[in-house]
Amino acid sequence: MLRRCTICGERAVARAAPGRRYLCAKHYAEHFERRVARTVEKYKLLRGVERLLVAVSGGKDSVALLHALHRLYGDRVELVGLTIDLGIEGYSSPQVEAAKQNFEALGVEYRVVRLSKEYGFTIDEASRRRKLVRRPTCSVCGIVKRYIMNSVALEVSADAVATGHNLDDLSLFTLMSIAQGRVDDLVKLAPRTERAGRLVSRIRPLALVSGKETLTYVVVLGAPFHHENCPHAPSDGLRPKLSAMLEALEDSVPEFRRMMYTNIVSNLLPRITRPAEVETQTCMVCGMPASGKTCSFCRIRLRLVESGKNRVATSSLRG
Amino acid sequence: MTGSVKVRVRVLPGGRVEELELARGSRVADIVARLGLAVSGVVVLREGSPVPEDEVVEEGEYTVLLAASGG
Ligand SMILES: [Zn+2]
Ligand SMILES: [Zn+2]
Repeated sequence: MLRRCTICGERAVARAAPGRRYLCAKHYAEHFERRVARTVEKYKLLRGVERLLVAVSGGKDSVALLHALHRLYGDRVELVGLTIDLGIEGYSSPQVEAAKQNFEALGVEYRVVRLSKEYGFTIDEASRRRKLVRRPTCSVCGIVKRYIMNSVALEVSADAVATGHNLDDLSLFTLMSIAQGRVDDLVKLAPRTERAGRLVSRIRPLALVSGKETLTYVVVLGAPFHHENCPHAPSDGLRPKLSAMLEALEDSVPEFRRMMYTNIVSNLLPRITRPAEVETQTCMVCGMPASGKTCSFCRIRLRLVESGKNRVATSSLRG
Repeated sequence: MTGSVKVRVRVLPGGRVEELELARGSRVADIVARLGLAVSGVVVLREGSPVPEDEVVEEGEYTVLLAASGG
């Protein structure tokens, strides 16, 4: 016995929420887009945004983000796509390929930034040489992505950058920030962060949809996406454990994550006085905002690239 | 309603394959539980299309996509 769409009687693909109506592929897509639209309205994500940089990795969330934004706002907001080739062997190429296929299918103008070509290093190198870099690989990757997104946003004069962070990500980061006492970090998890000097505004239109929902959406759209784990992502530790616990909790307390996140955003974030902007200085290397003389991106790049030059010099001396 | 249904389940990413035998009349959610996963963390596909978890299991192949992957 198959389940049928409560609206039209076609074969159902999912329920709108546990205990709610059944939806077919077409009506599921519309339901998902309505949820994104409600998030955009609730948090005024597109206020003052005429040109929007959409960061697409090629994974399910950012592919869902691109399609939903294109369908909902493609006629009002100029979308510019960005995909970053991080140089992770066996992982980055199919991701970038999936991102490009989506940009091209939708006719969205886009840029591909290759970390190795533009900046002279890769995430694989940062991982191999993490003692030299002095940061965990996932932290390097986060800094690299944020830096490139912001630089490209400035370059193409985008009013904001949209990322595919979903409710799973944001509720997980929320709990981790609280558990680890990084309460000030919570403001970074808001659905929208405003422009501050050369730091372009960031928006997270998928803040109230879960990973299960973005995954269902891209599957029913038939959009190409790359569904793999990053080889550098830790398979053990607090993060994956907490993530599994949140999923189990969601099964027994439906809507728990949405409740926690929206309550924190509306009741707790306004009480956190943003600490006097940490990044008040200007990087002497690249001119971007920095917390010291050099920004964290340039510190990483210089460690990897400069030491690379030394190695070449030494080996040519020996040769 | 006696007997059982046999299903072959592939979990992605990772590609783990499980052959399961469930009581006739079991739901898709029972497959997910047998894998030790949460329904909130997966999308179950039958012939490439998602299925609601309270649908009755039929003999054959299912694919379980993990939502916590490939962001
Ligand atoms: Zn329908
Ligand atoms: Zn810099």
